[in-house]
Amino acid sequence: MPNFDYEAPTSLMSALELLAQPGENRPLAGGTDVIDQLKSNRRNADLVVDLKRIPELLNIESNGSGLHVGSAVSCTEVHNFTTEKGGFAALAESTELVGSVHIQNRGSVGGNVCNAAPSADTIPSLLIHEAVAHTASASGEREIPLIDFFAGPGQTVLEKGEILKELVLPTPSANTASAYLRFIPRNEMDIAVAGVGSLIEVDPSTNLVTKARIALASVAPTPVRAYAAEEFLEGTKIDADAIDKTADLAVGSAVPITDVRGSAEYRKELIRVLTRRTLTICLERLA
Amino acid sequence: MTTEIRSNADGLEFKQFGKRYRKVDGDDKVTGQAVFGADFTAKGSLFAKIVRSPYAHARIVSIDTSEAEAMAGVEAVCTAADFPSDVAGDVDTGEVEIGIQFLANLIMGRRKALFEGHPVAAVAATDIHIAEEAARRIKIEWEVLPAVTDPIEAMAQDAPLLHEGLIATSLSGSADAPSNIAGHMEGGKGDVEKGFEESDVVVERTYRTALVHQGYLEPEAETVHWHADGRIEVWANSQGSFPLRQNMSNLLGVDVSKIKVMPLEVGGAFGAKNTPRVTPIAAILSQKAGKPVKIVLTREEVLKATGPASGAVVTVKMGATKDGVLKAAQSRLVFGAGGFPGSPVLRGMQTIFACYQPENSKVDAYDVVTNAPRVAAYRAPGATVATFCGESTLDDLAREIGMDPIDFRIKNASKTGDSNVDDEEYARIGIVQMLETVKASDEYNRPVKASKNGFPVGRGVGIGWWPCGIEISSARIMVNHDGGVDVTIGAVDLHGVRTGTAQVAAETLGIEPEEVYVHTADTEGIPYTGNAAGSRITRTLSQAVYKAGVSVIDQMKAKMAVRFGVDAEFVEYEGGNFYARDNQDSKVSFKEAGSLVTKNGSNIVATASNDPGMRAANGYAMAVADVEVDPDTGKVQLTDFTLFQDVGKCVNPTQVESQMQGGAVQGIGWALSEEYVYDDQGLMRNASFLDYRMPTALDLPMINTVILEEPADDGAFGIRGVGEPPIVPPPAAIGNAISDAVGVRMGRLPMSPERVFEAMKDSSK
Repeated sequence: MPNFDYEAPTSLMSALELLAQPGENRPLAGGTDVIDQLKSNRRNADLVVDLKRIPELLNIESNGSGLHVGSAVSCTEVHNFTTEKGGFAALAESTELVGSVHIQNRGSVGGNVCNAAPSADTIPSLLIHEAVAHTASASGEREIPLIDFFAGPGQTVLEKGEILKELVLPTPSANTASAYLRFIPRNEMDIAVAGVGSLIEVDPSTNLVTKARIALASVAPTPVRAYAAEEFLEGTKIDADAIDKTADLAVGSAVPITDVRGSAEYRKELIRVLTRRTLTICLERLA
Repeated sequence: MTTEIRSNADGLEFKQFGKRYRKVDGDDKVTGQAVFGADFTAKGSLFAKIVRSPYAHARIVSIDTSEAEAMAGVEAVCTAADFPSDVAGDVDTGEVEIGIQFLANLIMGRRKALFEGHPVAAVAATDIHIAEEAARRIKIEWEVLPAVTDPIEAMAQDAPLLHEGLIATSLSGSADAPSNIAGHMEGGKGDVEKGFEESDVVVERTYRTALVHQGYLEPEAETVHWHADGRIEVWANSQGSFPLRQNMSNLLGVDVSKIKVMPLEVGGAFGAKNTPRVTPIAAILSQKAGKPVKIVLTREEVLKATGPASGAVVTVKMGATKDGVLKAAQSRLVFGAGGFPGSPVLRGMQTIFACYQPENSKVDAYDVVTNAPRVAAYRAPGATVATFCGESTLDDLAREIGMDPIDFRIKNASKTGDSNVDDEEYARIGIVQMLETVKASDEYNRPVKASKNGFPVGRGVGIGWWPCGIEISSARIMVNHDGGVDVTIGAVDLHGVRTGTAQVAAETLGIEPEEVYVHTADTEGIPYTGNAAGSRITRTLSQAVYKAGVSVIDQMKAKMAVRFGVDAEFVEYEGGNFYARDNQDSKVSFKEAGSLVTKNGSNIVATASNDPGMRAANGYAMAVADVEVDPDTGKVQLTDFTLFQDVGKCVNPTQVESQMQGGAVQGIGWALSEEYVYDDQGLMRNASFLDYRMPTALDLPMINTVILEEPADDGAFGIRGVGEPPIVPPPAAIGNAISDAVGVRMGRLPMSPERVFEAMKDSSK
């Protein structure tokens, strides 16, 4: 591993100034991805800026505008917070799946998002909960709907010197349920061969789905939404047949590759199974 | 933990055996105090990085090391040109053998790289980062050649040829032209064609397994100091200090007595660390730099370029009559050896039908070189693959003739005095007893627990055999001035050797294990001791300790005779006390006597080795596996698992259990998730523990163990080998359980979710 400089500023302003300097500067919001990438020469850095000491990036709260997750908040904290407050079941589930307990304690949801792996476990949950990425750089701030945040495997729309400041998720209505499931050959310490997050809002008087959000992991260069499946489900009375049809439509949004973790055909099949299972869980949660 | 011991040990009762005596090296290991290879750094040490082939098969056109050599901090660079080109003599790499010239070329590639990661140069520098940068600056011009990693493809006439001079040898002589087939071995008895004709049912299947790695926790990590006066010191991470010294002597052309090997704690080996890989490289760099050189491999290097277990293609054909007589068994085993000849296919041939006595048998075994890392021993090398193939076929045959699979096994089981396909006659074995124990067990008879998910469930069994090794082990017992006892051994302690030896010494000397301190010596401290391999150490070392202990007691009797004022023959030693036969009141404890007789500079010391003629005590283990199978994804979850093993005589149940559990878990990983994945260029696509999937604790149920005792014929205590047999039956039992659950016969390892999914899809067509 080539040498690099390391800074751990305690204010957002000084972090942004450091990151704006010339050279290849990388933020670290846990380091469970970036340290490994540096060690194995998959990424380079002249300067690593540790964000873990900046108070506003470590803040997690729920208020009138929704759930605010600072970009350096660990997966464990997000899991504990969302488990206690409720309303974001898929996020609570996915933050407990990332890597291992050690990685969840150190790694952040913001880091998982910015690492932009197509397989990232927290991203489908954030997408179905309609997260908005609030970014900051020395030249100002931006708000980007998370679905527009990814540019390719390992790539985001963040510009040089720009970091993710926080993720904001609107509070779902009471008649909403969400779930995330991924498929891995083992039971832990693994990367999703395929993952599906599903969210449905159901009108209890009619049993009609008023909102459906389905997001897929590991089946495209970026995490994707299954729009056709969502559109079909919205306005439909949800039952086993509707779930099967939705699952078939979700497969159509998957454009997977064949690699060492699974064939394209198998991944499509997994999308069908996981969509069916997550929607079934949502229904159980609404009952 | 549901361990129990079911003994048939004929009154072989020992006070110190069967006790959960505390592991003597345990505290240091769990508190991080123990010194492993990577923990040790010699004063003034340099750090080395190996330059490896990025291609699976390529000719080295030129190597330019000048830019690396010119870097500040670089103190030595070596290539094959710095190693002796003519090497001779024997090398000892444990249960998987290799010729010395091949070993030399494996350690440092000469002219050609035969697998991805094959070393071709190395750099030693003042720190590892400089060494890594210098390694990148070594310029190598390659001529890339077509590569072949599949053993069947490698056998084809038009396959890329790895070694231009490799001529296959077999019973019928040598082949006419070079090929990738290094050897063809045959075995068996009778006439299999006649046997199949006499059969009511014949089942034939072909199986395919991938390369797998031992997955030891500690990557290879060694330090070597080649002194200016010609002495070589090695701080070793090896399974055998003496074999390593012998190998280094022959590989480097240095007298044995100039090499001193000092064993450090070893973080797992399972057969792989019998083969010297980095030690000779560190030695050459140290010789050039005049300083100690330390090499620690990365996990990627370990996976790509140490010695995994063979991938294989095995066809098995078995025939039986309706009433369950195994008329004929035939197999063709093809094992990939990696870049140089010497796969354990012969072991596969020995083990595939070893538990049974087919009336007619025929086995053909092919050793084939491929552009993959040269395989090494891995816990019962060859047996796990062979047993998976044999037991899967046998299970289908039993189902087809409508017989209970265990009854069918009992009816055809090998017994003491029977012989195997290699005509080796079995010493005392209890395979029938094991099968009957399992058949009567709750683990086999209780209903398989229903799946909480509503998935199909099933149960399978498999039995596996392993001969276990022998070789020489040495021990010295010395009584100290305070009457305490030092036992010095030459065996590297991979799994509880010091603890077990303390128990054996205490048993022999009539004292308590706490009064015995066991030391692992370097190569100057004790006579020759072979590799800690082949499940052989406790069996052989216990006899050495016993012989030395008997001598110690005799010496003490002679000295106590003087004190008692009687002839030595009238001194008794019983219940931990010496006394004159005619005077019960003269009792002196071992400790007191030890102190008395060593007072005036007089030593009590005895050194012994086991008898060279000692026979291998065959080992065998049987697994009962329960699974549930996700019908939508093909994922197999093991829900219950019990391993039965005959250990002859159990010294320490805690250590025996952990060997059984560890071996079983490695077998489970082999069954369900572990494999090397190669692309069409012969490059490994999953060289990390992320994608080379070993089971984690969350993937496994409790591994239950049942220890059986059918004592071995010879040796001091009836002890059999324990370490290897547990890995042998798990894939077979799990494959049979999957078949029971969802009705598909898995012909490939690992039985990964996608493969099971595909197999279910195919069978429903």
